[in-house]
Amino acid sequence: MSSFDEQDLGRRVDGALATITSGSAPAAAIVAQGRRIRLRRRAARAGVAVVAALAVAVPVAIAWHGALTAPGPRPAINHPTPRPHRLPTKMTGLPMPAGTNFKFLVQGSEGTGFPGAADWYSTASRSFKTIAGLPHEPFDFSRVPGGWSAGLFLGGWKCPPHCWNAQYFIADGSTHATKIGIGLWISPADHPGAVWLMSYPPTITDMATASAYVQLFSTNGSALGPRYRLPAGYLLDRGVGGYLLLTSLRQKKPPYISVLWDPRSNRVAGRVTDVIAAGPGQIAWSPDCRGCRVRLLNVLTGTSVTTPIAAGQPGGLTGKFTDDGTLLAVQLTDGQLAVYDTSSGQLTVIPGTALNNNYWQDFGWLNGSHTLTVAAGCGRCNATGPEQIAYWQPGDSRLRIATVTNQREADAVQGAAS
Amino acid sequence: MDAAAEAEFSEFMDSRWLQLLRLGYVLTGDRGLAEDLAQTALARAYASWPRIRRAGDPDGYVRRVMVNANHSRFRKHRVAEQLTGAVPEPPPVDTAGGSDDRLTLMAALMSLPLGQRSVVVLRFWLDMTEAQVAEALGCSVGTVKTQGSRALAKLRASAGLGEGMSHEQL
Repeated sequence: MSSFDEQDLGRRVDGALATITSGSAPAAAIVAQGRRIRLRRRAARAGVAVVAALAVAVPVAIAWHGALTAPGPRPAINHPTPRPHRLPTKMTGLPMPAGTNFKFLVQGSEGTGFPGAADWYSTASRSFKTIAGLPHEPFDFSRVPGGWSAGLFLGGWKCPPHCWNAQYFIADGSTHATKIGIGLWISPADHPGAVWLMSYPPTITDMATASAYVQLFSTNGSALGPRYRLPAGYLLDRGVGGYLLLTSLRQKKPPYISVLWDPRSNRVAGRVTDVIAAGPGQIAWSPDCRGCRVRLLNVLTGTSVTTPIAAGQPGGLTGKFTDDGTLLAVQLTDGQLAVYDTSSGQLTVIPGTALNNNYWQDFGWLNGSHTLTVAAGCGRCNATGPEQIAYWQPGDSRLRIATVTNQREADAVQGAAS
Repeated sequence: MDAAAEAEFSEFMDSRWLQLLRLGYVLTGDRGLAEDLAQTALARAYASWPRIRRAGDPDGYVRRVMVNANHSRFRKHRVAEQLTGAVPEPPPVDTAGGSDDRLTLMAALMSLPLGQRSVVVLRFWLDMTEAQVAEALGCSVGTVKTQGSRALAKLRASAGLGEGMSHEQL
């Protein structure tokens, strides 16, 4: 290209744009808009569940497209990531059996007539049960052992301004939410029946330099211990094996550092990089080295093992532990879902689970179980496109899948609970 | 999305807002549209933040969304849209005559076809490589070179814009 010239032209454009000034980003509007995009995708997933329930009730009347397909090739863990457009657009597996029932925590007005309240929706009975005790405001739900945390969501997690929201706990299947306290969010403890509430003092101006408070509460809302002050610039991820797993807010580039912090002694007991998943006593993390494999730290025993899972790029893997910490579901660098058994050290790749990048895919364990649920759909299509919901259990060779094309307007499903 | 990812996105959003606003402005010539584009790009990034973070190039992602969203907007409103070189608010007093230069440059940029303007912005203002620009715009490197050459030729020909540049450069 000619030498007219890049630097000069860039400099002059810079000068011209110097008049464009702005305060801070409209964070609440951006997060709300992004949240709506996410909720539309989740609503699509809710539609899948609802139609799956219909298929159970009236199997003949519903188009049920779960298909038997030939087993896919055994994946190689270390091969380069395939080009996205070569990957399929649908998960493949076996049809989901009739009688399959999931309970979904649903946000919305379906059962109550008020926006923002939450309900349990049973795919088998097609009925809603209202969860009492929540104000009629938007909520964000997160999995904690034995149930869900529900945090009032008023537009973001940046603090200030969103520091002091009411936080609730909803036990699995319970129709009543229990208020835990006021804070930024609730994190799982390392044992059922308790959660950590993280909050900031009223004087906070910047999360990156402030120290948060954390306090252990029982899930019935009573304090179980003193309030601790975290090291400045750290957020609480969850409780792990008697320690707190903290993530640094100051780390802007990989490797992302997390520390195991002992609140009683105010000492750091360990340091890991690029945490993929954390359970009640385990941490799956990636060492900061090229070609390395994911490590599994058992905090309870102090032992560490190297798994067969290729670490890939920092932040490149997503994983979730079962509530008992024995199984780790992970999405490999080539897009396939796999389950690592922490007892046997065996990695089971679930064939037919890799999708190309235009498709969203969520997975998680049903509460207190070893049933992995997976939902997938097109992220760049209308919400009315075909969606899939599936499950897998240890010993299964394939996913059990239901695929539907007819969707209803559904509330946002935040996850599945047994 | 977990808490750390939320906080990380907040940091990303705050630190990139002004740059995205300026990118939006140089693409659209309109402050309001620029804000819309920047907000749209960041909202989409928020919705897919874990995946985008995993891919390792969030800046590239939001730039692609902005460029593509602007192209979509332009296609939808091709007839109604009249771009203007006017700056969004009265420029500050500039005794050295810089304001005129800025107005001239913005007018010249806005007179470029959308594809050429996008190449100029990404290639010369954001210092992206030709390959990166091609990826962002979804075209070949050859197209980037062609569009860039044509854009530069038009900018050179724009009245007043060549002043201050050396003959070698021109």
